[in-house]
Amino acid sequence: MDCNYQYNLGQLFDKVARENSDKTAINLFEGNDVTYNTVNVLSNKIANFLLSKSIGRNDVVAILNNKTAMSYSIMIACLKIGAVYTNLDPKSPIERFNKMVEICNPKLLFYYSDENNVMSEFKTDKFKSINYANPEFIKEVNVVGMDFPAYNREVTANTPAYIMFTSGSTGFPKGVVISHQNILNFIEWSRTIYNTTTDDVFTNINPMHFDNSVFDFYASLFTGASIVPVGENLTRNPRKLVEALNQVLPTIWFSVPSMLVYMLNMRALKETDLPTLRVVTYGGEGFPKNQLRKLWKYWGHSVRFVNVYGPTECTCICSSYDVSAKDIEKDELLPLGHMAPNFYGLVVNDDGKKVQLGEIGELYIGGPNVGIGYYNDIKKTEEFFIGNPGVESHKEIVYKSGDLVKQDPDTKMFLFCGRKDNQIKRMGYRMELEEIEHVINSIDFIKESAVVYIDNKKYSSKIIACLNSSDEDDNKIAEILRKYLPSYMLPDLYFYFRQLPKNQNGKIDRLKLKEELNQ
Amino acid sequence: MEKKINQILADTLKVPLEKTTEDLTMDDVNNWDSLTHMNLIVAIEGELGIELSGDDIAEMISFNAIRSTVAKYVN
Repeated sequence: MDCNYQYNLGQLFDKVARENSDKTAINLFEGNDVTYNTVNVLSNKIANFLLSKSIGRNDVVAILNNKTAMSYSIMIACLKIGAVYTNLDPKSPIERFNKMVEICNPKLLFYYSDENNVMSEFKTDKFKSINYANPEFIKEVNVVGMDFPAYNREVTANTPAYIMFTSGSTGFPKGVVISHQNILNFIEWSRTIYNTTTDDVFTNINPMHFDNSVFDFYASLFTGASIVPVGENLTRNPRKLVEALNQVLPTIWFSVPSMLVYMLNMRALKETDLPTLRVVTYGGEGFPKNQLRKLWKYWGHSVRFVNVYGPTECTCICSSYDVSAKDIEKDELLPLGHMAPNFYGLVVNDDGKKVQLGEIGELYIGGPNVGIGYYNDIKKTEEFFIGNPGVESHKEIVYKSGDLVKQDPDTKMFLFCGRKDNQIKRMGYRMELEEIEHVINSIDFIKESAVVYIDNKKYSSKIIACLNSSDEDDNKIAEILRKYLPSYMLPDLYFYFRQLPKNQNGKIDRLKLKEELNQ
Repeated sequence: MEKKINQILADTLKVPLEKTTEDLTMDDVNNWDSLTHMNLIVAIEGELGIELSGDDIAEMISFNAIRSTVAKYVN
């Protein structure tokens, strides 16, 4: 397609692919790198295949993504025709998987066969499921046209591009919807901040159903750089991961701090590893200073460290901060940094009024990365995507992040101070403790429960289930929870109480509970 | 020492103690992810008073491999 104005992601990918057609798009450990031309042709074919099945703009396509040329191409094919892809956790417990499917109501599910994934239990007659590794599918795709679909012109910038599921406090995951326009802005931001060139090689360590993968995928494949898919098996064994990465020489690394801490604790890094790395960027949670110092010793002299922040609802990243040697000496957590240009943050009190500089308040975020809302949930969307309370003349949408922050009076940078609710981050995974409680409370022998998160010397990063239960068998309870919750949401410890402490309103007093646990 | 290792495996990976004598791998144990792997290595080092090298840790992806690697340090 020849057009100088790329108003959707399908057009942008097509342009980037034609400009870099013989260049490597997907850099595989086992060799046989995949070129931009191959991905462009394959995604055109899949797009035409989807159109032939009457799938088009606004239709949802669910994907169990194994980070292959085929699965990336399915994502790009959806973008080319305005179908909304959603990468679902292949290892999700079946009950949670069913909830996500119910919310996003896909027209088609693409999967790969693996005895450990959810497909061994999933059944539906509402839509078709296609094994994209099956030669039959590849044969079918090969007989449709390979041209860029003309249908693409109908994909307007406000068309949803993807749905990213995150934990919900009502016991149901929430599907965050992000538009083409949101991501087009995000790509330009990333290119500018990281000075991306077509020689860059991005790691894709983050699972595709996890928000951080948005950076890996879009900051690389939509700028002419290349991406290195890293499977889950390799991430569990960090020394092997580093050895494999030494073969493909990445330049930009993005992960949660937990992944880097894991590598440090497993002594997976050597001074000579990853010699071409120029940026380590991390986000999703705070980086413990003692661990950051260790990493700085390895790479501080040659690698740029960038601390980033952003909720899933605002397209992965909203602010960034370049770490300096001075920051490493100080003990306090790093600032979230300045909001991205073209973006703003408001710090407000409970009445929605702006607080004074230096005072703590909730962060409201405004700008072109603010997503569309929650899929099939108008009520929640209206609750969190609201009009800027400081603008009365028209509705200027801001996202209520629930993050408590303050602004440094001198630098105006944002500093993270905690959460307004019971949302936590562990290993970078965001979760609502109420979602865990909701599942626990559905067990018939549990009388009452409260789930707390404590990260101190006594309990290092522990999810603790406090239960009043007629059966006090940890394993039995864990076995039930495993059917409903992913492993990162399972409680680490179970404590049993005759009665849980209550506040004056008769609600469970979490603060008192935490105090009791810490004694 | 073997008993001690088996107990650590049972506690950190939440597998029944009788299963720890088998040669289960990372793929066989459902919740043997990176977080539990880190807890496992930390527990082994703490309880047995040893410090494993990065290369050795990289090999410790099955029960038998764990037992034989740890044996190098303890014996």
